[in-house]
Amino acid sequence: MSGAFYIGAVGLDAQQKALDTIANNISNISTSGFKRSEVRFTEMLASEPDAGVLGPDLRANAVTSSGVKADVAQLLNNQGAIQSTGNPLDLAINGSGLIEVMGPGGQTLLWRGGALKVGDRGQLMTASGLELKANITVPTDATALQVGSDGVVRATTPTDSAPVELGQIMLVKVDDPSVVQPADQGFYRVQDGVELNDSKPGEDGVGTLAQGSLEGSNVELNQEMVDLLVVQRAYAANAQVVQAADQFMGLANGLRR
Amino acid sequence: MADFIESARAILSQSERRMEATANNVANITTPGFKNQRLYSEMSVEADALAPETLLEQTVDFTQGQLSKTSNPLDLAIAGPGMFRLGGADGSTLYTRSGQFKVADGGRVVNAQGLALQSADGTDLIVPNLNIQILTDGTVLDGDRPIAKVDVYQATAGTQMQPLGGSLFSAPEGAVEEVAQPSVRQGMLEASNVTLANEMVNMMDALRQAEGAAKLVQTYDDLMGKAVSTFGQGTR
Repeated sequence: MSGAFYIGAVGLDAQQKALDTIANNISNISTSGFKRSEVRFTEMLASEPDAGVLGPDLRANAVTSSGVKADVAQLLNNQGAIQSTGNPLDLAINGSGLIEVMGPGGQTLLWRGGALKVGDRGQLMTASGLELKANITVPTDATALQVGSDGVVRATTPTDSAPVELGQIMLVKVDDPSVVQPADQGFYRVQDGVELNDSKPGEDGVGTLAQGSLEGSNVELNQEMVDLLVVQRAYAANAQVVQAADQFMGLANGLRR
Repeated sequence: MADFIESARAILSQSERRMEATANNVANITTPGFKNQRLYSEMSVEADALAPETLLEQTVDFTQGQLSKTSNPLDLAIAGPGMFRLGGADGSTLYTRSGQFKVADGGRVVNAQGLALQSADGTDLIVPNLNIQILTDGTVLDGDRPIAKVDVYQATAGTQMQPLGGSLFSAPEGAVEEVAQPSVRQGMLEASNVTLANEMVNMMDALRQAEGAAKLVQTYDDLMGKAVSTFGQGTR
């Protein structure tokens, strides 16, 4: 079987993956807090590179490569634009940190900020109903809520003259984005065995919190459109290769009449 | 007469190899730092040395690819000559121009194949965070403090980097030197230097070559058929 066939097919597959990624980026262009993914192409080698085994005579195995591999990587630490909404329960992160929330099964999920709400027992939670790990309970008679850029949450109540401190929202930083997987609704699942370290907002480069704002997605339409065109052409080129390989095999089959 | 069919077979299998090389170039048209590979036929000196494997010479086209800006601080590109040094888990050393790196365990900087970027002192480059800055000479800064240096290497004059595919290279022992004035660009990637039009022409060329060889085989077959029937009649 002609190797060109497989290499072409692998190339089609990789470009397909790139197309899926671009489609997902574009469809989330107005999702707040969305982080775009990027496809990283690497050449695939038929035999694993091993400098020790490699003989001087490379001509004996001239083609060691066998196509391309596409990995999808999410650009987690890439800031989106902070947009002011005026809603005191909207929270954005200006920096690369993430907020820890309690998942439905008690596991830790990471959240890039968004709309908050106050639960029926006064607990501060995301709009989708997951409690913050910071475990902040808002008094029932509170009239206003303040979240400082350092994450300290204060409530104004009719009984106290000054706002009461309720707790502090901490941020965690993930340097290697491959240890987190995106889950639904802008949350990220953390791989087992990965240790997360809390930092106060404003320290250790985790960034600060911005109340009354939402973070826009970091998708740039121009770039996605250009990528889309490139992918389309690259896909077509790989299809040409498959077709030529098919012709070649037709030729070989036709040798014996 | 048997030599004749052997030649046709060699041409066929050669064109298949060329097609494979073209297919690999096309598949990697979007792979950063990929270098176009080309197979050349060599003139055979001995008349009977027609084994197809020995007739092809692989060369790599080291033309600079376009640099384009990305948003990843660990995307590195080299403008001009040189390659990054990578270390495998087994202690092997390889070279590449594709600088798409990410942070792995303990701050090591690795590529998609898991090979670690080497700093100038011969150890794996370790970065404390992603806010590092890499200057054009390869110096890695954490804030204002230089923490390491990434050197780029080239084969010494008269030797060549040996390709393992189009993006990884190995160097002959002791025949590498640091590039005197490297130009490392942070947040940029070098595009693959494959030209689609060239690849399409090569593919058509390989296909026509194969067609020619097929014609040879058929002609041979015709001749043999004729010989058998003609001589067969003569003996009756």
